[in-house]
Amino acid sequence: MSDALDVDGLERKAYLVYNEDGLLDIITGFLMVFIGYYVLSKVDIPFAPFLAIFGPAVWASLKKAVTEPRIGRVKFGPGRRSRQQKVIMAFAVAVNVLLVLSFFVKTGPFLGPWRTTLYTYGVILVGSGIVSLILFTIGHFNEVSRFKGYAAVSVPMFVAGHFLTDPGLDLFQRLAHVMIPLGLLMLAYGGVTLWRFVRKYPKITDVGVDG
Amino acid sequence: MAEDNREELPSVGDIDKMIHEPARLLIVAHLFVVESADFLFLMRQTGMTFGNLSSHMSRLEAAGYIDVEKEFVGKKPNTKLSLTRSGREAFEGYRQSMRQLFADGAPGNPEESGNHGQRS
Repeated sequence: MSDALDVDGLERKAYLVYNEDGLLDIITGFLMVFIGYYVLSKVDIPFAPFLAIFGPAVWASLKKAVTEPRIGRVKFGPGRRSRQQKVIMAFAVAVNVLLVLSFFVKTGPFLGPWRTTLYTYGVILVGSGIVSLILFTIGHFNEVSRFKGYAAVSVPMFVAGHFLTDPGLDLFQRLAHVMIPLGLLMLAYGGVTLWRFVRKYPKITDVGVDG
Repeated sequence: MAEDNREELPSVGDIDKMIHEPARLLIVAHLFVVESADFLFLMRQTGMTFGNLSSHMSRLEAAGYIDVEKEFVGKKPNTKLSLTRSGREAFEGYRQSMRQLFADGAPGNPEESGNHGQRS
């Protein structure tokens, strides 16, 4: 009874079930691998708008195809929805900070000596300062602790990337060399999580519930 | 002080029996924390069977506590459930009664009475 009276705990439990499917890991991991290959291949096609439009659409379709037939449909309250909007806003701010930063790194009159520092330690600074922070933010606001784990793992990966990648490469190419294995790790763990989810929650027709 | 607490405690008659039944309490509590949910979601969250959930759902609907909306998602029928205003008010009232009961301690509970004694 006391469980039923703990409404915050119930809401959180209901919300967390929706992230047990590993789709967030798979989509984020795929995007990181895709962006990494895109940077390394030097293809001159602007993929950002493509990803911005189709990314959420693919996400929604996967949720409908995989998650909803297994755990049902739910509309969360305004508090949870406003929290999700804050995550989206945080993403938009992070992407804009990244764009402004890359603009200053390239044109750089305002950065002065910071420009050299960014070029020298960019893999650690930009990697840990932005990519790891984004992963941590997703984990924190979506209450998915796996993403805090990815953020923690990514910091030593970016530090290792600083020493292991060719210093003669462009900063973003060096970052891509770390983002690809990090994305593959997320894809692999997301795949395992999805497999567990599908086993734990078979489609309701599969378990023969007919009343 | 113990006498004062006893006066504030809800009487048995004040407790909403429609909600107090454990299965219905689970249904109402799960609907209270979301705007709406479908039948499958409630089955998963409460661990109840189709028949059991269906029968409790009918009682709650008859009492005016939940709103049942049948719709089609794609080509499949889907039953969407949400708490009505009176359902929300009833659950809030029930929580308040239970909180009051558990916070003040049941009369005649020697352990609770002892604690009260120590505090005062």
